[in-house]
Amino acid sequence: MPMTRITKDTGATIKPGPMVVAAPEQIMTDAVLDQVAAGTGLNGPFVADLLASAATHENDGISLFRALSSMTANPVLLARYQQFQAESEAAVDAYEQLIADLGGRIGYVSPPGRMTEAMDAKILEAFLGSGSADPMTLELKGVEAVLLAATLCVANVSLLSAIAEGLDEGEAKTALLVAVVKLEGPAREHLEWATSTQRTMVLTQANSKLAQKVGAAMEGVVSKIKDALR
Amino acid sequence: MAFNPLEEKGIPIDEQLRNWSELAVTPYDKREVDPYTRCRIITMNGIEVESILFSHQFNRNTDVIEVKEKLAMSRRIEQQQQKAVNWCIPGDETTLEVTLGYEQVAVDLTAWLARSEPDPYLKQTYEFGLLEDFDHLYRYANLYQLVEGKQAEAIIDQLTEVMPGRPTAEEHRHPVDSVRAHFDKHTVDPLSRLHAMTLVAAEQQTMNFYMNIGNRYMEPIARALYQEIGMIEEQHVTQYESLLDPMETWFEQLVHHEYNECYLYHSFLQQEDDPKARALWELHLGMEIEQLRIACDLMRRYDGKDPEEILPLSLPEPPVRFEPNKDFVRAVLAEQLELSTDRLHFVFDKPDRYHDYQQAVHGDGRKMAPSEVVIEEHVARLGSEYRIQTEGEHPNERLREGTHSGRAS
Repeated sequence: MPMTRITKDTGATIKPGPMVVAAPEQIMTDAVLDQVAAGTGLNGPFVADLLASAATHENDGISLFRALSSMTANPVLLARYQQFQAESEAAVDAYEQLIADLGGRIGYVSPPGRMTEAMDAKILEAFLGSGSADPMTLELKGVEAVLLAATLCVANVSLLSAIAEGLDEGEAKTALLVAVVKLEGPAREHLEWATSTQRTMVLTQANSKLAQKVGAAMEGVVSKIKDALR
Repeated sequence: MAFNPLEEKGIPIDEQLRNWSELAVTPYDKREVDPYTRCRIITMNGIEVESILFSHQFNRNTDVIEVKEKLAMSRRIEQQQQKAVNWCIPGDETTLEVTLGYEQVAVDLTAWLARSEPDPYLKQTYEFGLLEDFDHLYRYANLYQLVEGKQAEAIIDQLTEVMPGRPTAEEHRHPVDSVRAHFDKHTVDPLSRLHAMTLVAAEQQTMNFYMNIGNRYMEPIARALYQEIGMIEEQHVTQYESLLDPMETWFEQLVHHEYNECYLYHSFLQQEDDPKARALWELHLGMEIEQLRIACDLMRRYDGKDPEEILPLSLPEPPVRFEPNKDFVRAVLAEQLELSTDRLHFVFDKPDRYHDYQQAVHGDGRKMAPSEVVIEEHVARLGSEYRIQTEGEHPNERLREGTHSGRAS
């Protein structure tokens, strides 16, 4: 099981910045992070920050898919979100395994990780402004949230691949390539699904007022039933 | 025994509304009340006010009807809770007597939190603020005797000493020097988060109280002293709210607000001897448990987070206690009186802008500051300062009576 509860009692650590403080036992230092990917020529602290940030993004993906699952009234989308949530959990697991294999610490909250979490939170926060959206719009924005999130997932995997490419054969390279194999497929699938689904939803409504009205009405009905059953 | 509000059954929200007769609480007798019962009432009033203001802010940042409606319902209950708590204060308790209660809260709550704070930076921040509120108590106590001819001991008993802290006139700092660094939401000890939230609420209430009632006096020295200390309370709110992690989402903040209310009502329930107050804490704890559940449901639905991912497994230990902190305060007085701040840092060498700001605020000199004048007037009219020093002379030679008489240097 991946560690999704990142708190003091699960051993979370952080590298304090100018504005962030932590108790001594929670502080991570560059000296410790220097051990990440040691002997490979890589910048250990930077790689540790990058991996922590990527793991954070996948962890945030779990929250995103949970939230979208609770908000959608569309059973087809719901099935996808549940599938993607499970795959995000597997992705967190893959990143945690990679971090461990490279000599890093699971539960390390890097400064870039904090900013990634903030960016991801703002995607979800956008739904606090959904009061004027009709059911079709709400569903479309859910798909676009996946599109935005998955874009970063794919970019992160691509970075792993590029880093591995520059390494000599060895344990670090192998660990990176194993992670890429685990992560690449689902990430690309999420992005491709979101891109094509967005396209279908938009073009259907753009090309036919009737389809838009029928779609909205159906989503509305399903939504009411779902709310009634909640 | 460990208490996890997530596993407790609260009062259903639809059963939480109270009618007028239920809200017509009997005020305490100001001559009989335990000073620390008064402190708990003042604290919980501040906590409820903060929860209401936060909820209003949240309401202004969403147009999701479900969220707005649930916030509105909980907020209405919080309003009633605030009225029930704050109306325990009797009408015959004067504004200055209530103020003495506020400053006793500021001293003994801050001292307790500092004593039990696990994070060194947060602990230092509380100790720093402590000495300033400690001084406010002394200034108001002297004002009380000047204006009402009574001694503060009748209100605060001898539970809290009254003597100079970091002189109020010296507390005025450039605004940038009140900003602090903050904890990280993942690595923070749950107790630290609750401590910071509690102090933000308490100081915010104090700031708002002085902002609004400071002009209710005819006596110029009273009006002026409220003005001056009101300015320092703003510095304190800036300081304490800076400690909170701005990365927490709206729903996380909502959950933490409700959780802190559970923590505090549960804490005070354990310590309270006054049967009426105790019944109120018990009732409100039952309400907060349900409000927490509703907040957690909203976070689950809109943030996709389970409460177990961000909350501790049970209420953190120790619970908040009101008790004398005399030795602790004296130790901090002895060591940190001259401490100041340079942006985020605590320093003994004051930056140049400190002196520039002091000049701008005090103009002709610190001796004109209302907090200095009130002591001068007390000495001139009554022959000496008003102090309660149960543990001996002041631990800092500079502030012993008869020398500089607690005046700013």
